[in-house]
Amino acid sequence: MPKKTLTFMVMDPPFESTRSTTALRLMQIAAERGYDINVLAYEGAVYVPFGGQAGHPNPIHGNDVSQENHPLPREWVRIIGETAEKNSGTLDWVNCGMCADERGANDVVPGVRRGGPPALAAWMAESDNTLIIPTRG
Amino acid sequence: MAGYTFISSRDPVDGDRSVHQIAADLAGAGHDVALFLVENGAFLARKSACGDLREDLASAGVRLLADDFSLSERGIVEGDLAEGVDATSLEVLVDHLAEGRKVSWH
Repeated sequence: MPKKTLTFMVMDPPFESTRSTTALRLMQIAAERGYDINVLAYEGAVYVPFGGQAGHPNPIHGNDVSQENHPLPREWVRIIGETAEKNSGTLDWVNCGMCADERGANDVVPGVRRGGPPALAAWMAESDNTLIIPTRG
Repeated sequence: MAGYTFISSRDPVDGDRSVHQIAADLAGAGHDVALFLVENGAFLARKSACGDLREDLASAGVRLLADDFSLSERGIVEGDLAEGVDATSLEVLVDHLAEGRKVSWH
């Protein structure tokens, strides 16, 4: 399978819109193929790799934290990076710096760096394709 | 001609009408157009709903693809699928990106 480079821009925060989940599913597939993946997280999406995310118990179902096994987007970001690397690909995840500052979202998982829209413009010129995933109107 | 793929993620009853219209117009103009139904957009794949809209899209030449995970989440099983809708994996959408199709998610 020829190596490709795909760029994604995500804007929705996690735990609210299914769009962030679908975006992570697409990135996971690309990582399994060994593609190089670029991501610009903009606006609320800077919380996708937020390091402070924590699982919780579910008292309604009587589950403790481990039984509930709450899926955390930050873990998925880490797994996508590891999967890409294992398959000779890369994940370059940029959180919009101003968006993160506004939201106090600078505690992120390792590998996530600060940047902004210029990174997206540069990636778009070099990538095989780019998918912009806007917030729901 | 690289072709176009439009991602529709909103319930077709109250959303994504402009996406459906652009897809139909481009297909009607002779372009290769696919509409990929994901999340609540998958409701368009159900044979009991929005038949006129599906017919308009199909007659214009739009290919309808539906994310099997989104279908499953919504309890839409094989027998519920409308004719002409292909239940497929999200892998196909990554294929379209890798092939260089113009992929748009409004």
